[in-house]
Amino acid sequence: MGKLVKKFIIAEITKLTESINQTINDKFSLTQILKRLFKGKRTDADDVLQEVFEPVIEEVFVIGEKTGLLIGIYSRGNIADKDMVSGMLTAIKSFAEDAFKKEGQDLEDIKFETFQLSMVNYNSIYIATATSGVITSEFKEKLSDNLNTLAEKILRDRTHLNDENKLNKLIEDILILD
Amino acid sequence: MIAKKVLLIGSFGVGKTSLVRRFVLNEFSENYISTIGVRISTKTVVIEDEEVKLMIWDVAGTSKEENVPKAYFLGSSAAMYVFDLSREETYLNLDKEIESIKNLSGLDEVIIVGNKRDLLSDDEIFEIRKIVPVTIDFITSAKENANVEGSFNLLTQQSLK
Repeated sequence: MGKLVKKFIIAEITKLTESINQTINDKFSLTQILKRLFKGKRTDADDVLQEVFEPVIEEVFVIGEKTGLLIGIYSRGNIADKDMVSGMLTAIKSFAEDAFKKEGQDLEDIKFETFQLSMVNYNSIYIATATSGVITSEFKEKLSDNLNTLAEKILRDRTHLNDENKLNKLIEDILILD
Repeated sequence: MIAKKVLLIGSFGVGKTSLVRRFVLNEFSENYISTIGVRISTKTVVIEDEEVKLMIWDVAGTSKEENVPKAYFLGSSAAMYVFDLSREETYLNLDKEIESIKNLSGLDEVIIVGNKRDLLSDDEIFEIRKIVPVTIDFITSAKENANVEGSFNLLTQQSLK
């Protein structure tokens, strides 16, 4: 058993090392060095980390704020019962907000293993996104902008709230394909 | 398909979860209810040719007694209050409990269910009906599967009002 675990860890570290080496080689090419001269505040470490552990949006839930009912969804995996998950998310959110309540504060992030679950409240709905990988400040800002755009479109055109397919397409267009 | 949030409320040990188990089979792990005070189950029912997906929030206790987050009661379309026919303390203050639930949820009506019918004789149930300060809508037994479907059907109908 011990040997098997050791073998697995070595194989994984080898893969990771190869990936980091490849990224570093790419990043130190002449073109990349020139690019970096003109870039903003991002460090080389940020660049390498982002390439190796690229952040990915795994799931998006648009949920009724009080009812906990699922209004729209995007999912890369197979969720057994998406309605129950959205209900439980709402219950956990309410529980945490009630247990540690301070006026005007909401539960925003839950982290588990390689996933980060973020929840943003809007009028009558909230949007929960599950992301994997290394979440850089740049990715967070872009996600936040896109979430605001999505919420704005949903709330401006309320037909999205009653048409799951239409809303699912909008989620994909704004958060995934963009 | 229409989706509705419905509540199942009542003191600890009255048999709410057993009723839900009878009615639906799919449910989350046991741990959730003791940790955050609610278990959520879903069941699709057909009422008058209309498919309704019920999201049943099985709330442990009431907000007043057991510090259940008030938010659990919000946004619900119907509610069922369950008490234990064999335990007096679960129905003596029923009128106040129902009033509190109506205030928290904003609902006008709450279905009243007396559970564990199998533990009492008909005479004993007759006596309890006289003591309970509100009208009992259903006398159920999750163990013997008596009136379970009927009480949830009424809950579904109320959620559509």
